[in-house]
Amino acid sequence: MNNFQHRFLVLLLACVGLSVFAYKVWFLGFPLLPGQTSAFWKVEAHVDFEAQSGPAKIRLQTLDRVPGFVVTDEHYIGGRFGLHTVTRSGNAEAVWSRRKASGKQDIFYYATLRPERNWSWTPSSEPPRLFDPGFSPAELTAADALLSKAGMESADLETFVPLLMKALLHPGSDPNATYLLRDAHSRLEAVNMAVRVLSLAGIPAQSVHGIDLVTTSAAEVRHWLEIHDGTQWRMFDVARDRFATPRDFVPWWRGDAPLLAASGVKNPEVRLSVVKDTMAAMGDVSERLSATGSPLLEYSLLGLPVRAQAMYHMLLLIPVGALLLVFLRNVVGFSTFGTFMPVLIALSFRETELVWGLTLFSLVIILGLAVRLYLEHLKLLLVPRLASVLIVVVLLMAGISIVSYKLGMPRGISVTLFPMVILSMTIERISVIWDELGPWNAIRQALGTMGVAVLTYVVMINDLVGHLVFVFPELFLVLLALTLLLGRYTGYRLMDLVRFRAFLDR
Amino acid sequence: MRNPFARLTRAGVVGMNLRNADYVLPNNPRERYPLVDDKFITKELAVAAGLNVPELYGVVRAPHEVRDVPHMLEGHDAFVVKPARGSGGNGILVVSDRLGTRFRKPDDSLVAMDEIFFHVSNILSGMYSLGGMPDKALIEYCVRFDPVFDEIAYQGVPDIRIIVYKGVPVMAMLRLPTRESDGKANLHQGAMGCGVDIVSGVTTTAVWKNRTVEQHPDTLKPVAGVAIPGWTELLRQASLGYDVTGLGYLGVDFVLDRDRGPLMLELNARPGLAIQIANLSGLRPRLDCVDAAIENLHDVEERVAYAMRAFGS
Repeated sequence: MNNFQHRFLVLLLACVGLSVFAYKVWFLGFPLLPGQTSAFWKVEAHVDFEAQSGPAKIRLQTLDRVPGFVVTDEHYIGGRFGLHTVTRSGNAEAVWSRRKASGKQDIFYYATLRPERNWSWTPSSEPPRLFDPGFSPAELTAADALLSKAGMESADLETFVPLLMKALLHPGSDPNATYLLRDAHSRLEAVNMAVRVLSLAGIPAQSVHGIDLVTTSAAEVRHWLEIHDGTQWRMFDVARDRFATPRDFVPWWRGDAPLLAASGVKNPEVRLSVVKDTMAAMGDVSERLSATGSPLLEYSLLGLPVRAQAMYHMLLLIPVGALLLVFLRNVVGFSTFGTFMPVLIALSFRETELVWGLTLFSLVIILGLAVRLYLEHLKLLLVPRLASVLIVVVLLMAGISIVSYKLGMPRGISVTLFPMVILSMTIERISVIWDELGPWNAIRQALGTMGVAVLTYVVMINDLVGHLVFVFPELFLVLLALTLLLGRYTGYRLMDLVRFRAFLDR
Repeated sequence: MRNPFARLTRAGVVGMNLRNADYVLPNNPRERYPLVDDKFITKELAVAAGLNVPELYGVVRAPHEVRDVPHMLEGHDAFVVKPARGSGGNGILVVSDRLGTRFRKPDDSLVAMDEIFFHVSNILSGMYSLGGMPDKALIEYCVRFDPVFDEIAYQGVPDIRIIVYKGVPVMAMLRLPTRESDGKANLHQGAMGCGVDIVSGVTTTAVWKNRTVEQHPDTLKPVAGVAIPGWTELLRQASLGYDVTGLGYLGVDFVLDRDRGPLMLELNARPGLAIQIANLSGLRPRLDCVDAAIENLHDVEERVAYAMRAFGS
């Protein structure tokens, strides 16, 4: 009876999951492969502020004409604020205003970017114009000094601009730059000062601000300069300090306006996020679905806000890791610490990249274990012992971060993203096994855990896997069926061959 | 037979998955685990059922009872202090003799009463119990080993592990400490396992660190052909372990005392699979036999008689 139930359940789950999956693929034309479609990007600007029960006005730069992209589905969500959009000096702006507002307020701006096919970055065709930088006499002297210093040390535009930018972005080293930027509070203002100084030198320039299309959810504003070298416009990447051709870069606005200008409110903040969207890639699919009012789209992960989607992209990989873990433990016979420790470790590898993560992890564990084995001498009780290990782990991480940063390895900072509790628990587990079954067993299990974590990581970062679980969550029913099936696997494990080799030698 | 898995199947080897799914899960109800996890409870039940166990001199349940320890020790020169929920032989203090106000350990070092108090306090605070739970300290008779194993044991406690399935003893092994296992009798800590013939109680094949061996690595004496005294009684006691706990798949551990005969030390609800390697035969055929015959076996005597009929090697 039990067996029948088990089989029936497995079959049912697999059938339901696969039928929904097949229906979506064959009849609705959902893309099966991640690379099958051109990518679409959903961009979101989230403004939050506290209104002070007076007139409030919020001015946000919005996307206008983005070269290489079609901007569609723009939404301005401002609650009870009035909205009008204007175009000022070539930038599109949205202005939300209200006579009397109070309390915490949120305003959203959404847009979808659809890349044009076979498009590559082409320089702007505007004729170069010089404008008067409008320096005061003192500023003029400082800017002149800055220019002549950079001019002396450089040979051509290729070397001149980086030198000038270095002086302006790290003004501590140069008194002239320090004076010019005495009122600047952001990189944006430093970049715009560079435009004015270049203008003074007779080089037409213009600042461009935008975001990189990457797969992380939170996006940072990146700055570029458009500089005319006498024959054509060239792009200068401020962050990398060199001339380059932008790739995956979306110009958001140009010139010296800030991204967000607010009056009459407290703590205005804007957060940009961008998410790669495969649903939008199925434009015609969604069109057809919405026309027929199908709930498949309405009630799917793709209907969630962009930030939540980015989180689910990661969360949905955990069940995949869990199934793999079941397989590796019960069919192959790896021994690991704890049941899902390897999956959690694999998740933290996603933050740091594999080799670096493994190095850090091993380092922290070895050091922590050394401390733990020393604490063994002090005969502490269990809970204080765990707490001491946790404290030591935190200190170790801080130490590793500081040392690696001083050595010029910024990657070391990412150790702080490791779940510390996982590390402490791992160390505690290793030491308990060390005490009970001896060091050989402890090391074997530690290696097993790491091995499983690496394998899990490799599967979890696979693009195809990520795409399938996100677009076809019904496949989790199939995953569940497989897990239930493995739950009744009573055959040998691969490692049993090693364990019982005495029977094979005869 | 090319396929190694088929060879294991033919030898009737039970793997970890099969043990958990078909034997431990259906036959060992979770709510009975506490009966074997806590040695104090196990001991009480065993005594009630007529099993021989090391005599209990006293039990310390709470810190204020520590001052009763000298009273418990009156008239006993040798004793053992151990945690009720310890594991892997940790936290066991053995005292072999009394010298005035102090006590002598087997390695001839001396301990004072204060140190014994301290050890008991550590046990109570959960230092040796799994998960760090508060624990009880047991003070009991110190086993004086039967000289029968003197030639093939090295510093430590040789013990006998019997697997009992639904009350029928199906397989047994003798575990001999070696220099490498540091006096512990766990095979994965480097102890040696010898298969024991269920019918006669004579040791047969032996395994050490996953290899079949003929001699004890430290004493270099052959380990096969040693007869365990009082074997039938041992099987009877092992079979009683099932009646005591109601666990259908059980490992029972005995030591042999020179005066009191076999004493049951502890019960295990998840006995390991290494016993198959020590005996060089799989458990599967024997477990299947028991499943087929259990209907007609009503009491301990019948179950032991069946085992001695069916499992001769």
